[in-house]
Amino acid sequence: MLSSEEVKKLASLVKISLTPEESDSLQKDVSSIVGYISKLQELKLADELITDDSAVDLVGLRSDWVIGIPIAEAKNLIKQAPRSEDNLISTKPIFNRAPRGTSG
Amino acid sequence: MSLEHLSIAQARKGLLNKEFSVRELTAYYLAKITRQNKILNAFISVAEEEALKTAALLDQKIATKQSLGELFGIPCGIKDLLLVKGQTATAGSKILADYQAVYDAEVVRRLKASDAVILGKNNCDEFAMGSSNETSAFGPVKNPWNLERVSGGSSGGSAVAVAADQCLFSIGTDTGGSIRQPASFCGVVGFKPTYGRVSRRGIIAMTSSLDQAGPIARTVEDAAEIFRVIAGQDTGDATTVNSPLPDLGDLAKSIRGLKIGLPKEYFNSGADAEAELAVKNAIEIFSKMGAEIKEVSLPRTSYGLAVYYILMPAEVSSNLARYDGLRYAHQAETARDLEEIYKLTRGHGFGREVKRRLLIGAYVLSAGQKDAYFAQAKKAQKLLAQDYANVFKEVDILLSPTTPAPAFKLDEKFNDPLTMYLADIYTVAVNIAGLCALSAPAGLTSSGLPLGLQLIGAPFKEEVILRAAYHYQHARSFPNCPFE
Repeated sequence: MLSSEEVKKLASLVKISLTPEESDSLQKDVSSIVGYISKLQELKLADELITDDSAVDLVGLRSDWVIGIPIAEAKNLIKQAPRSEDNLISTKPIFNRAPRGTSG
Repeated sequence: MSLEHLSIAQARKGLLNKEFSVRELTAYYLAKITRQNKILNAFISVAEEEALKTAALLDQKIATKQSLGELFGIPCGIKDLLLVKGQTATAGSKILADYQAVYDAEVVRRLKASDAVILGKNNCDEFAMGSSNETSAFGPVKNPWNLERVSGGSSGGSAVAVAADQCLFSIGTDTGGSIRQPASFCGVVGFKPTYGRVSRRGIIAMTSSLDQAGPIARTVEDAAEIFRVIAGQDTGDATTVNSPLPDLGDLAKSIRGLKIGLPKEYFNSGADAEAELAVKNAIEIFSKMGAEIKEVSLPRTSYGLAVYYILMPAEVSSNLARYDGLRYAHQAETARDLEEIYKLTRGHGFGREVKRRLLIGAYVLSAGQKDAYFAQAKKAQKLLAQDYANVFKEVDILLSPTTPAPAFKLDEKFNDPLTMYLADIYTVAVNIAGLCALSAPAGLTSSGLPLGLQLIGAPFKEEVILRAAYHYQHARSFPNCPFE
């Protein structure tokens, strides 16, 4: 069973806020799923030989490459952002957050 | 001529013979969607004005004797995971509720170029994460065969729209069974091509190494025709392959001598008696047609689901990092700084299943667990693919039930994710091993629910499963969904 601290740590890694109720129920769900996928440890893979390269190639990850897009399309993409300025996406402050309940 | 439950071939004949216009056909489906959507919820958005405008242009095209595309005048739905320029693209999530696509997915571009008419966007599980369409932020989709049952997922809206005759076909996506499973639950044909056949450009990514778009249609011939239009290499998706498209010209060609494998492990895994009986009936049909039936073994079958539920959440946790509250339409208003924008936007915007998979993804990729889970799953994936490659040296296709049981009740498994995941037991290995597969309607249970037969093919051998499915479909009748 994952601890509630571990669930908080995972939530922090994937940048999601959780309510206490969500945290409790996800702790239970994730623990049960991790228990299930742990069955893969039974498979002694070190002893297995991979002999057929063609099968391996089919599931190998292949790389994507970047292609340019028209300026108008890029502008429309930026328009979808909640906040933008001078055709750039803008955000709230990145540093110097004041603790809640204080000013300045 | 009645417009009810047409196939693409019948609709085309009616259009070319001027028995009805594209506008009339489009209006028929739009009216059905309007009438049924409050009950079935198969569409998240309907592009009525745009669809009627396209229909009018296509009618002009036929009137002025211009050349017509392969899917001329055929109205369709699109899973709301694919971008259609100018329409919302929600992925079934609150976080993208207001997001408007600024370009067409390659699949959509090809459909438009072939003169298809896009009616709107089909409901789906949030970011395609689900097997029941209950995780959609826009409400569950109901099964038209029994309104107390789920549609299946994640392409539930697509399967229901086709079954309930709201469109002639829909495009779904399949990462672990999301085309085949809802098709099976709704009594329609669901076809997942081999990974790399169909471009993923403009499809909102869930698991990039497994996601693949494909058709949900009323007949095998329709599915083959749509596949011909959407398949092919795309420079906008480097994972599409430059492999020649199979010859689909003669699906009626005899299947005498076709070697069909029955994986013994698939028949000892707790499927319902009626689901197994449907496969046994199919075996009889294929035997009578001269196919050779042979038992085969896929010894690592029982590990497929565990491999899937490691690799998929690992990629999910990476792919969904882009929904940061900065680039897309939704941002938490109360956030005071960047860190809070991330956490609050994602906390409010994502549903429980998405959060569950994000946490699992982070867990299996974390420093202490990566080798035990992710690295182990990648190795196991190769071995599973190798098992299939060995079996396809002996046989041409494999048969199995698509799902262990027919559509389950709404809410029955919603709070028990592990039981829900087990419903994917026959479908996930196909994606993991890079194969193609099709679910064909295989009869109704004693309580009137559809069952599906899964035909699995070797990589890039789509024509073999389509031909076998064509013969199976024509050897037995399957009723239209009675929902009005």
